[in-house]
Amino acid sequence: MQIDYYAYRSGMKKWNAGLKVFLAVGTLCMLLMAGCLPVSVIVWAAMGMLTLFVGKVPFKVYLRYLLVPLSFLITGCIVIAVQFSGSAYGEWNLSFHFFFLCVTKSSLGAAVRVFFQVLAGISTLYMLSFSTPVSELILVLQRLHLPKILMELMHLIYRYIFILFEVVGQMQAAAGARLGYQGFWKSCRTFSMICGNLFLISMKKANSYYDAMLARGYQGCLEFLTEEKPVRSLHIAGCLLYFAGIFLLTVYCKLG
Amino acid sequence: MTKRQKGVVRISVAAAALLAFCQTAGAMHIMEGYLSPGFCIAWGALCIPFLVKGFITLKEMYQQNPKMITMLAMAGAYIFVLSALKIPSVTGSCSHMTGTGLGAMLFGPCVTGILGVIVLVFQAILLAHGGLTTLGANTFSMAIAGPFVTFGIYHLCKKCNVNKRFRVFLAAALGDLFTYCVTSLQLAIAYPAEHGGIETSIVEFLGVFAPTQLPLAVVEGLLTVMILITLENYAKQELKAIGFMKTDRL
Repeated sequence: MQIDYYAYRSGMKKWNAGLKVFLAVGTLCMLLMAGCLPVSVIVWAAMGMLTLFVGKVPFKVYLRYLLVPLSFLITGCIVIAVQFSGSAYGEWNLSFHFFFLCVTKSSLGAAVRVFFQVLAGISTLYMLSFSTPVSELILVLQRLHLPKILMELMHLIYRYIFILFEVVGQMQAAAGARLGYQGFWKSCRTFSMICGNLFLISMKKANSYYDAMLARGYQGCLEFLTEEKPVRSLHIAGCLLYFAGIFLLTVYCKLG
Repeated sequence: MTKRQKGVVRISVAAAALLAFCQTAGAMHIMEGYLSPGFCIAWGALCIPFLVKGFITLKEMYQQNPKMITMLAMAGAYIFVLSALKIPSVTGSCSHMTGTGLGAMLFGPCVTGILGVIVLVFQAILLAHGGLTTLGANTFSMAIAGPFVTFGIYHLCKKCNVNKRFRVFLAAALGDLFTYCVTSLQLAIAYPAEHGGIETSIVEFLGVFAPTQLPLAVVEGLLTVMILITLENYAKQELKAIGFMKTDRL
């Protein structure tokens, strides 16, 4: 949940949220359409630098989050690179008597391409999430005319997540103080009791929050005071220049 | 050993530790950028009918009782927190529950689908699990396929008068396994093997993720049973309020 903390104190906080969403979604689309190595590397570098230098996210934190999907990514890429076959083929193969593990040049190329594409995608997503608080993202979605009830649900869920996390933290501390995590079975029992109690508390809180909302004049519609952040022409020019650069590089890669 | 050999041993130990023990064996969120545009759109499109049905159900619930809005939001937050909690594990790896199986049993699969999408968006943004372009694929495997199977098995077993605790275990564990199979299928279709095509690559993906996902499904099943027992003991009224106890007693 640290991402949320950094999003509120990001150096890109003053940027228009719609523009950041446009930049992220546009980059992701171009990245996937291009599907070639140079574009992925450039996008990775550009988005990483934007987050680190303009967004001012500490390098260590960023690196730690970059490692989150790494184990799944490495496994996924190994499966693409190494193929499983009854007969030997490809540039390298390893015999296991009953079957062969084969690596061909093209499969290795595909794995490397996917690896960097995912890194670029992740850094683009982080550019957005490390710079834009969720409440602003929901407002952008609201402007796209998504159903109102969904937007309200998102707002409320986002707020309730933090409340429930606090409650869970207290329960875990209490359980830990009473030696509730000694051994696997006891931990399971503690875990399930925490989850059960959490459900109880969340439903009780839901009732009282509804009453609280009614008391403050809720009539089926949540209103939020929002800060206007005008789009600056410099940002638009930068965005367009960046997209043009990526587009030209893609064309160059496809032709070359 | 020479210096170089020592280096190789160290690297291999580090790689083994990274791959085997630090594996965040949560539900398998497909990462941002892993799928090509065609698959992103196709899986997203496949979700639409389920989400529309879920949205209509949600709206009806809201119109009948406006109080449902905070209840549903709490349910969504509950699923999110449940999926973010570390579950006890034997190997020391850091694993998480899917949470949607329990959600499907408590709130029904259609509502869980809608809540699941919101939870997946928040997981991508707040926890860096999953992504925006892969949202469709992740939604299909985790918020639709898994919960529907869980719900189906749960009610099928109820009709066949299977023991109630075993029924919950079976539904949660098989729902989790189905999510894992669907994710493997999604990965395999996106990257078929050069020789042998999709069939070979699905076997590969299933095999690679089996060591973490199979025990996880069993643990999730056990935990779901234990959570529901706790709920039955302490939260009867709340279960009644969401319509769980009316139809069923654990």
